[in-house]
Amino acid sequence: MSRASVPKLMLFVLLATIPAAILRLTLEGPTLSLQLLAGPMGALAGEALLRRSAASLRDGSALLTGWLLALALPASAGAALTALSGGLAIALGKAPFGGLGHNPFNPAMVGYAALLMLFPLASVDGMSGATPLAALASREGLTIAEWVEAQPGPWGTGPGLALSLAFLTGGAALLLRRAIPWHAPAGFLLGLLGAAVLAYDGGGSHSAGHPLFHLFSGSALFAAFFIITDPVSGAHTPPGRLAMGVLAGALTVLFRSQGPFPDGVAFAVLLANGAGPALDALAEGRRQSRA
Amino acid sequence: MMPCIHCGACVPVCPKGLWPNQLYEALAQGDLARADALGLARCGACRACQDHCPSTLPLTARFREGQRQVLRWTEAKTRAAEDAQQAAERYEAREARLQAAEAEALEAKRQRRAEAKRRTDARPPADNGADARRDAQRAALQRAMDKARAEGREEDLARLTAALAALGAAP
Repeated sequence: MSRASVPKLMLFVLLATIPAAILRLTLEGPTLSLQLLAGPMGALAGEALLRRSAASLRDGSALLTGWLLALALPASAGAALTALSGGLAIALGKAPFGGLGHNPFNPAMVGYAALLMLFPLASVDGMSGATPLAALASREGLTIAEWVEAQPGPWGTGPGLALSLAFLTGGAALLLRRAIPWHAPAGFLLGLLGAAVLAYDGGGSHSAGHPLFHLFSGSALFAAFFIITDPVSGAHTPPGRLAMGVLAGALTVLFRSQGPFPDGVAFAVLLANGAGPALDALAEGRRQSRA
Repeated sequence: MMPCIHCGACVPVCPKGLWPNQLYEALAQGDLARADALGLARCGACRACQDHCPSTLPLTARFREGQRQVLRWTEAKTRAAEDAQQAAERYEAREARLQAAEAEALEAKRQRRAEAKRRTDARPPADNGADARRDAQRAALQRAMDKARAEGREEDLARLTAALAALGAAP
């Protein structure tokens, strides 16, 4: 990058998701493009209504929030609900806190969680390999090995894996260009794999799933490079970001295997964001109660 | 210039290993103690953070100003501590003075009372004079009665006997 600026940074993150977006369009059909347009439009509309400043539309943050949200939502959400979700992301997650630079929670995940609670059926994570994730949540006593054998085709090499690799590519580009600090993604992958390894019992009927399955399923890699990496929300210090990532990764495994929803990334990220200021305070060695 | 988005671009470029984004936040919140704890004093104003800030924030100038603020704050803190020490000393001295005065007043009062008691004890009983007068009156009446009996004035003798009875018996 030449001289960095906030809009350039946002645009670069957006560009890094283009391979994954193209892959999703090829896999799920051109109607998905409506959704990918609706997300940013909903978020920009929310920003325009609530912030009432042209500058806040040009900084690219609302555009990116809506875009990431549209990428996170399954095609079953549709354009209308995606736009609504984009609006909610800004209205609940960003504008009331003072706009750019002040939101404590990832706005895209706020919008995602809001939609998940308002319309549980529409936003069941159908993104990448969510069908295996949903099945994992309710595989009714089958061991992981039996269940994998019962699947049509090897899940590890399906479109879910391809999409995960597309996000991994984009994420690697972001890290190589130093557009995002490495701490949160490293922590997230560490936490996710660590928790999955600890919970893995070799594939028994109560197993939480193979660690690699967790890594390449659902939105794990997407979250690792494009969600937990939101610089504004959550922790702001390098150690704080690392710890927040670990927390989000571990919670993702916990929510996937124990929670009511097939994928738990959104709630894991929101919870970890909430712990961010406390983790920063720990990193700075300052007491929480100090005025 | 845009708000700080905590992108962290300033962190790896700081030669002193500071966290400029957190420093900037602490100063924006007026939390000089936190800025001090974050190592604000170590900032050498090299401008590396400012040159890498995508929000083009005036970091270096803010940090210089912050260092001056912390200096003033530290001085004010020392001064306040000295003032508090002096106030405490003044208070203790005044308390001691007040207590001494109170003790002195109490002692004076006690002495005045003892003196008054001593004077009261030294004085003869208040009714001594009256008794002596009555004794003298009795003696006078007795002498008058003796004289009246010798001269055979029965009428005067009866009057004097009644007067002696009215005066009461001798103690």
